[in-house]
Amino acid sequence: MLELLNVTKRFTIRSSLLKHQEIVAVDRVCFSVAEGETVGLVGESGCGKSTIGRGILHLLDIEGGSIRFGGRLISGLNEGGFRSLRKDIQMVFQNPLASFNPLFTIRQSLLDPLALHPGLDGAARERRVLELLEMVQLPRDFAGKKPHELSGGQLQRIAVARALACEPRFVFLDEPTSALDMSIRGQIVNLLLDLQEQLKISYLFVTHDLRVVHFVARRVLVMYLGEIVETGSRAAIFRTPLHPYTHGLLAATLVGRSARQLQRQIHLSPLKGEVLHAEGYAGGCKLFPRCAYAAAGCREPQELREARPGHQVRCWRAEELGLETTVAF
Amino acid sequence: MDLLTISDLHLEIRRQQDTYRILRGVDLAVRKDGALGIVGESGSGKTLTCLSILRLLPRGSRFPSGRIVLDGVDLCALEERRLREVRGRDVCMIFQDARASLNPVVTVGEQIADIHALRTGASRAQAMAKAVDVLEAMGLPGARQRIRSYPHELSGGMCQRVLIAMALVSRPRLLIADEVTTGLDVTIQTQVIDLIRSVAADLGASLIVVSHDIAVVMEACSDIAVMYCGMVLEQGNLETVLAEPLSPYSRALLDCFGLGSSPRMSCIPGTAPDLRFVEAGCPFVPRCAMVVERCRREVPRLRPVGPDHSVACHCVP
Repeated sequence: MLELLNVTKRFTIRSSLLKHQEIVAVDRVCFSVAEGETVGLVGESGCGKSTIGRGILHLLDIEGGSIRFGGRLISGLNEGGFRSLRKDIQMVFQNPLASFNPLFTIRQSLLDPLALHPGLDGAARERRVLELLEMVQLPRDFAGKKPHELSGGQLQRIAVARALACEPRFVFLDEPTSALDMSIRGQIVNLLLDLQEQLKISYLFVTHDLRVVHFVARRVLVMYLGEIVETGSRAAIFRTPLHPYTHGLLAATLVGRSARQLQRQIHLSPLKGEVLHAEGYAGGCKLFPRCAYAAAGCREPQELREARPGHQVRCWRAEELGLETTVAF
Repeated sequence: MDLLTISDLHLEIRRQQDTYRILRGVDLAVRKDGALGIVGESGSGKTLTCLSILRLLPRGSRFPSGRIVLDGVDLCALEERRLREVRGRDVCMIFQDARASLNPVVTVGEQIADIHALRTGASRAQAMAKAVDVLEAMGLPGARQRIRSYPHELSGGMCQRVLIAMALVSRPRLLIADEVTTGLDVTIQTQVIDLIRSVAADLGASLIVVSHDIAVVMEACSDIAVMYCGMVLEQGNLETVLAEPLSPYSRALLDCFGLGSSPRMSCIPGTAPDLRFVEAGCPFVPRCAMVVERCRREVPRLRPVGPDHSVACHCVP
């Protein structure tokens, strides 16, 4: 359904009055999402996940590589050419309150994307608005409300409804639950899972919350500073994370079987320091400054390679380290 | 031995025509050298409880009723002038948006040094040297250069470390950390929490950690209070409460943090009630799985059920 090949994007930022620094936000990223599949994209700030989403949604231009949708090249198109795809490719943003026009009622916000749908006349669109509210389990009278009258969780449901208004084939979800309380995240996640089953949509689900990833994704990609550092099935990533960064992320996350047995992951290699775009980075592993297992060989360029069937990693020491987690699920 | 006790704290905020009943009889205690974690959903009143301690209340607030006793002194009875001495000196608070809490036009080094100079009468040179030391202790690399940075030049996690440094030189008796890890990257969150814990230990200060994320509280605290709709529904020793949460709300909340074997993610259905309206009975009734008749009529009050465990629920024997 969706295929990214060597996608690259650079930004130039001013680090001081006279110095310009070039940041490679996305560095030759390759992956694909099959029809009806959910791929989880995990990473912290600066890893490039939002940039990828904007590239897919044609909200910015990529500089290298290609993006294909349904076999068709979409990365080089201009807005006119991309427009017809907008009903098939949709997005849900992190902050629900910021992604709605505060002056529009919910009804107006839901009617907006329906303008892209070729087949619906005025009456049909109004019916669709009510259908959408029902689909996300909100009462009909919400149609007349304004965004600020809804809670974060309710508004995010509307955001999901809006994304699904035109029956898209693919939705990019950029941290859709991160602004919500833990007790509400499950509502959105379960809703998305149900809708996927009914409508056979593909999701690219970006999040830094590994608890959410565990529920939504079959396949997981882990990114760090613009590069994919590990990919694998959910089971593989959670049980035997091969890359020290993945392991560090898991170590920093609380997981547990139930309320009665909450237990902290054992820190085997807590990651030190900040995520920084290293000045004077000269090739080699980007995690080098923070990694507890850094060695001389890490300064060489690292390739993404298949360590086990279906499990790729960008670390020459992966097998040697034999990292494991104690997560049982 | 308690450093801080809050008894029957009520707070209302008036906005235009509406009155929001934000706090509805909060009872809390923080031990000397203890660390209390306050957990709950957004709107439960956790932050405003802490802001009430310092009386840093939003516009439209009606003066809180109840008692807030810090080491024998009732803060609610203090006039503003005396309370100003308490703020920053006896009680320090660190907020979620670290960058917004810092003065944008003053270097971070000066901001730390100013506090140190105020507290100890040190000279400017001494204070700046102290700022370097303290930033190094926070794990900030290149502290000598960093003291000349402005807040906008630092990441969220670094700003948070600057705030913790400022708290360290203030030498308070009570340190309050309000959602300090929310919005930070996961790997930075653990560092920040570890730092706050060690600073509190070094100072011999008591700690209050407010978070909607139980993981954060588990990492830093010995006691826990679970709040909902302006009330404390369960509190006590952290291990005890987590091993056997008695309030249906605590149980539902804790389930949301587990992975479980179900393919569906645990959540609490519905939303928290509108704080403008006070229904009779327990506020959790609309979302609770265990409602009996009494729950609809009578607000449950916190009562002890074990040596270090209290719960507010009619369905708990």
